[in-house]
Amino acid sequence: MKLPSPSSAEAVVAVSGLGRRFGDKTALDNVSVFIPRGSVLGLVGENGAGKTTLIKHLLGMLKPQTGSVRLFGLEPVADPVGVLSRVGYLSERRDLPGWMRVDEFMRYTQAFYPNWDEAYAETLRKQFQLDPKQRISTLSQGQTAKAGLLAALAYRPDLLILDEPSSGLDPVVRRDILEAIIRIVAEEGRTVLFSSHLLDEVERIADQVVMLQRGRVVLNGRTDDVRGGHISAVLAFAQPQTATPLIEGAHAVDGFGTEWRVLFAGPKSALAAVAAEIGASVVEERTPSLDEILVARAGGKGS
Amino acid sequence: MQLRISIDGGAPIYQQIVEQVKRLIAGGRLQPGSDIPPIRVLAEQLRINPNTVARAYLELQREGVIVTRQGSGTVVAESKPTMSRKEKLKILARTADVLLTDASHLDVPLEDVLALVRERDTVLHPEASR
Amino acid sequence: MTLGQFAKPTATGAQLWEIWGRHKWSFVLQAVAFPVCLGAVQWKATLSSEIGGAVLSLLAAGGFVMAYLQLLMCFGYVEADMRTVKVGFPGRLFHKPVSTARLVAVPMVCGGIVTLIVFLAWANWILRPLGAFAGFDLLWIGLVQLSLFWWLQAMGWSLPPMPGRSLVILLAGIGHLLPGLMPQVFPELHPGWRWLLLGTLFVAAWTTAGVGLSLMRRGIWDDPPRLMSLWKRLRPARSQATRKKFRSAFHAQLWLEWNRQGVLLPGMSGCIALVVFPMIFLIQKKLGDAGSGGAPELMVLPVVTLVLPMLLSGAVAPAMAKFDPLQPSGELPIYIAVRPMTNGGFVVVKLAMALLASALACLFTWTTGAFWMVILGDGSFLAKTETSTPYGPVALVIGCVPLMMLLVLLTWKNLVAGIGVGLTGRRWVSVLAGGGRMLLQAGFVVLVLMAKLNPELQETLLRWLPTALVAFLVIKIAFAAFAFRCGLRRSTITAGAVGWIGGGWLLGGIFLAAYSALICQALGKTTFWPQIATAGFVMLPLADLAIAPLAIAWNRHR
Repeated sequence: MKLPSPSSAEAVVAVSGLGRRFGDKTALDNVSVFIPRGSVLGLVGENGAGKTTLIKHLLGMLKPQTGSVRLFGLEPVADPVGVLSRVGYLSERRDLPGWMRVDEFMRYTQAFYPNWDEAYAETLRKQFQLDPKQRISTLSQGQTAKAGLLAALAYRPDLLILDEPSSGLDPVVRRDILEAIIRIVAEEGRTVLFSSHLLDEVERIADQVVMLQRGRVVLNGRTDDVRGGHISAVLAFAQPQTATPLIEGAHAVDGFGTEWRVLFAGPKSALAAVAAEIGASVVEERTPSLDEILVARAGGKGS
Repeated sequence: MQLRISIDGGAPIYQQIVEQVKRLIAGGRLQPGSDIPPIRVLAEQLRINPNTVARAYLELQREGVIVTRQGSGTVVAESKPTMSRKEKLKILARTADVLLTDASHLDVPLEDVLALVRERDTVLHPEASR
Repeated sequence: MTLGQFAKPTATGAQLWEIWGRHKWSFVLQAVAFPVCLGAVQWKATLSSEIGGAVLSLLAAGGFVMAYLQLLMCFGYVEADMRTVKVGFPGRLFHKPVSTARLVAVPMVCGGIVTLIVFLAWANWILRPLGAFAGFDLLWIGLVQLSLFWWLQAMGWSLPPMPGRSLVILLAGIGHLLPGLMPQVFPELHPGWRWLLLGTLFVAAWTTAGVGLSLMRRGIWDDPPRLMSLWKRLRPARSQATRKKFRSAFHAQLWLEWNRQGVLLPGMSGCIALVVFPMIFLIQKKLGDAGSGGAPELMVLPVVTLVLPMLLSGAVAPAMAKFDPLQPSGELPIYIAVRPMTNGGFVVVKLAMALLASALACLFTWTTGAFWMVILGDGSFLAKTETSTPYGPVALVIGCVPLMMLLVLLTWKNLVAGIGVGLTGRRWVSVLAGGGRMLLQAGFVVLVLMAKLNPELQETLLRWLPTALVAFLVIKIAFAAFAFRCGLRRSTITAGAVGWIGGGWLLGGIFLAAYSALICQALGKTTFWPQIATAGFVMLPLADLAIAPLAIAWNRHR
């Protein structure tokens, strides 16, 4: 499954050159993201990198200052009904009305979506074990996330946007939510965009990974390609190094004396060449996990 | 069919599935003709993206390890896969690369590596060597 | 915070420092407002013109109201807990290693003293010279006010999160009218009795606060006592039963708006009618009997009953623009912002909700008022109405229907006029618009007063009035058309919604014109009718409602 080109008409989400500032602070800088139909995109990055800001642009809650945002070929700000009727959203803080009961919230949401599947909603509710008569303000964090997810899934939206769906949840609830997402992806033609700090989840279910750092896209590609484009290696120097060696192309350099661990962005041959240049040899190398890549890039150590 | 995948760095998930399926078949836990779970079921069971499972199945199909029949799902292939010698060697080349890279890091000479390979073969297939 | 550095590191010091830190600017404003209003009062004494005097009095009185309300908010010491959707004593202080007595004592003692001093200062030097509290014992009033303040605090902290909580607090406040007026209403009573009553009120307030807060701290309402679960079971089954689904998105949103904002006006209005009317009625009766010796002025109560919703709606209006009263900023809550509904759709829902609220508020207030008048009155009111018209009482009631529709319309107008300002969700817009409106109203009042005193000015104004009205109307329509066009182009509003708003405006204006024609005919002043009809069209909100979808769009898409 290849990534669509910018002009591809089958992109469900087409963000192009998006830029956004809040006062002096640049929240997003020339961000371009394309999500084809039926794929799962994992949005990763540190807190404050711009993930939620990007998601808010997709929902029309923020207007793009530069660039364009298109969902299903429509602009969310110009046509909120056309876009939002096909999008299911779970926000980071859940943002559910605490005063409503679960069944009231479901009834309220149902009225806006003609595609609402009552049987499916009831199945999900039983599976999530939500008491319909319970007030939302008395639900636990996990139950609130489940309630929000239920409201977003029940009308089978074409695009599901989840902002940190697993944050603050125990492993059992995380499993439930992951399974629900996978079931959706397996259904024909549904697209999912989710942001997460739990990178093992991203590796499991994302086809495509986009990493934001300080508002910029620093990684964008298929999950396996992103991982495959990095090497976690150990370099052995002939002489003990007194200061952290400067290694071109490395995102994290850590170690002591003659042995230094490096997270390198590039193919094996490039690493070998760089190592040879600085008088070190590669004694260990493997493909790093997404977690290691993120932490290394976010740390910003090395060159 | 019970598989385990690990996410802490290592081979891509689809590759892990391919290798484990092959290992299960080689070890006899998966008999020729036995059912392979549908993509969706395996994806839910392992909690991974169905596309990844699809990719693994595609690879296994290409290598002739599993066969998809119209209407009756996917099963383990009956006969040995009809792959050309070149294809088979290409698949093994990957594992060989890993072995040789490790060997060069540990500074083990090639002869010792070859001797090791023969030794391990004896251990793994005692009936073949007898 | 240099003051904090000097404050001793004790629990009391910390609490006081926090109060100071949070409301620094309000205190500064208060310190500025008092001398300004004092100066205004002094200046008024030297002025000879009436208008100037009236304006300054208004300024001083307004200053007092705002200063007092600000003190209430500051020392009322309540915070809204977003997660549990409760308003009460700051829950975060419950975990501190401080006794409940100290938690209670600091805001009560400090707040009580400060409020008492401020109240007495304002009452004595600013309100008294204006003529208020003539013949009242200021100390008594001040102490009753202190009791009221303590009761408001105690109830704000101790009441469990039950429906109608704020109404109970409001009633406790209004209930203090009685002790306050005791010297006037029961002059034959020995003063010792009322001081005893006051003392009891003080003790009761402190006890309620102390016990209530300690119960709150022990989390008694987290695990509702058996009484509450009994109440839950007795509650009408209708609210617990599963309802059928909503007919459309409009109905769903209307249900939400009604539950959050809509019940405010009918609730307040109905409760005041239910509780305050009989009190006022009885007090008036007493005063009338004791004072002039003639029949008490019964016409006041019916008039108040009729216009109460309209008067209240002006105060309640800013709340109508919100979507969730507990949300601190005016931002659209996310669970509303992601619904596939046009911004114009949201506006129409709000208008419908306001209409429902107005109609119900009027209905409750009028029926309650009529109920009290029948029960408490001695039939003289009915006798009066019989003699006032030649058509008989039944015809009078039927003839009142357009009047009632007019009042509902005016109440609705008060609720939705200026709703666009609140919908923008930006505080500076609300503040600016509020300030501008106050200036305009003040200017208008000044103009009217000046015209009253200056017959020449009055004549010129009256001559230009028709043209001015027509000019306003034209500007209004042009502005509204422009706003609608903007909205249609950006698809923040559908053509259907434009139809509803425009058509509604036309209908309302026609209704007003027709009704005023009838009245003008009856009174014989038909020459004024064109002006009144035009004024009706000008007064009804149109441009306001045209801007509203754009305002929501500005709020929703930041």
